[in-house]
Amino acid sequence: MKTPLWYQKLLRWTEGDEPGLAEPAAHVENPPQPRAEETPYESGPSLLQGAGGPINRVLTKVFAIFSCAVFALVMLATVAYLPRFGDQGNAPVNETSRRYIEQGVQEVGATNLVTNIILVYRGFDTYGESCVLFLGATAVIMLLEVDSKNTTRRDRALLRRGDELDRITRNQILGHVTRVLMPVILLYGLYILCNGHLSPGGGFAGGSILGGALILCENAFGVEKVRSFFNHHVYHAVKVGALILYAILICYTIYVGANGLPNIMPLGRPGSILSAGIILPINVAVGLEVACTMYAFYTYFGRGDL
Amino acid sequence: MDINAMLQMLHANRFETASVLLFVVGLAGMVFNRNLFKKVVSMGFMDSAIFLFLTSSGFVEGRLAPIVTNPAVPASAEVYSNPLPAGLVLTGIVVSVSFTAFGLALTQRLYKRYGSLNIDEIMMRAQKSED
Repeated sequence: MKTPLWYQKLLRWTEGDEPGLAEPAAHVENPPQPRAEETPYESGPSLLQGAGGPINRVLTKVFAIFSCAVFALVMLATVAYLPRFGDQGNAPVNETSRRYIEQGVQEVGATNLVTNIILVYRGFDTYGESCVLFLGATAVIMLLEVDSKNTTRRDRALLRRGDELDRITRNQILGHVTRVLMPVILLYGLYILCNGHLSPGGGFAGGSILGGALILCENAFGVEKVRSFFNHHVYHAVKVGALILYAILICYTIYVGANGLPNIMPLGRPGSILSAGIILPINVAVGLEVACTMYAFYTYFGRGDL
Repeated sequence: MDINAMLQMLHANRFETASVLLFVVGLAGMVFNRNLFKKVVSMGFMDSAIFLFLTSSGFVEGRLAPIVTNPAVPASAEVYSNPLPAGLVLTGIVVSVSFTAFGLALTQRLYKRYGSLNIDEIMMRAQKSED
């Protein structure tokens, strides 16, 4: 009995081959052995295929499909028993949330209650989150940094040649448009960054926009232009400095709050831009950190260097 | 609860339903794909599903977003919706960004070392180079 075509396609898809190739695998007599330098970004036929025998493979796949389907059904049944979307009893405001909502503006000073929670009430949590971001960027740099130990001279020459090609074939239209757009993007990013305690936004969103502006700048004017004001020293200074500033502010707040001391950071008039004590400096620190991280992710994945 | 009422509830909770389906799509991608890059992308699908679920379950009809519009009037807990789900989602997004970058960096290193993105081939070549 001939296996139907859709099943062969499914098998091929589950083995990691491209689903678009219509030719069934059974017709290939001797699959060519994949070689590292000849098959970039293509998964050749799996070398482990013969390990468990065809029956075992099919059973594994059937079991995987079955468990995914069961999981989907159980989760859907759970959703059917959840309270209705938009119901009045959803996300009930218990005493913690009630305190956050009713006293937040008086105690912390920001009119955006979510900012109150994530930066002051649960500021230690968000500090850990910033550390996760910092560690993520550090790990990416450790893994992807190109130097003389992990890359051959030929590959480094290729990378340099790519930069040279970029410089020669730079897009004029992109440069002109970026010159017009860059002030607007920077202004928008700074607005989001500094209005985190008054409106949706804050350090993470504003920092992403600033990092995007840096990436656009790198694409339009080349890496040398960006390196002239944003090299390794500036990167490390800004990143570590922002994290340390954040740590100091959070430690101060926790110390003052735990000991019942008066807080010297003025809360200001709620709703004005210079208000809410430590929230504005923390937002600026987080924003700088996020901007650095975004740009580092981009440039290390592409070039292996800042 | 019979099947009709269940389907009605699934329709009423359509954002949660969509998030469950998105999660299962990500799970299937994690299980079935042998390609590491596609695995990382599937993980991103699962992250997005969780965020969609949290935000949609925090929505209450008729309540305002938790931003005090008039600070002179004391805020009442009956006017604003609960701000905690939004805070949780914010934390999750940052962690998911870090995870995606880390996973992709590991994938790129594995590709440079073993010349393949297929997890089986990488394991084979790693074993071969150990022997």
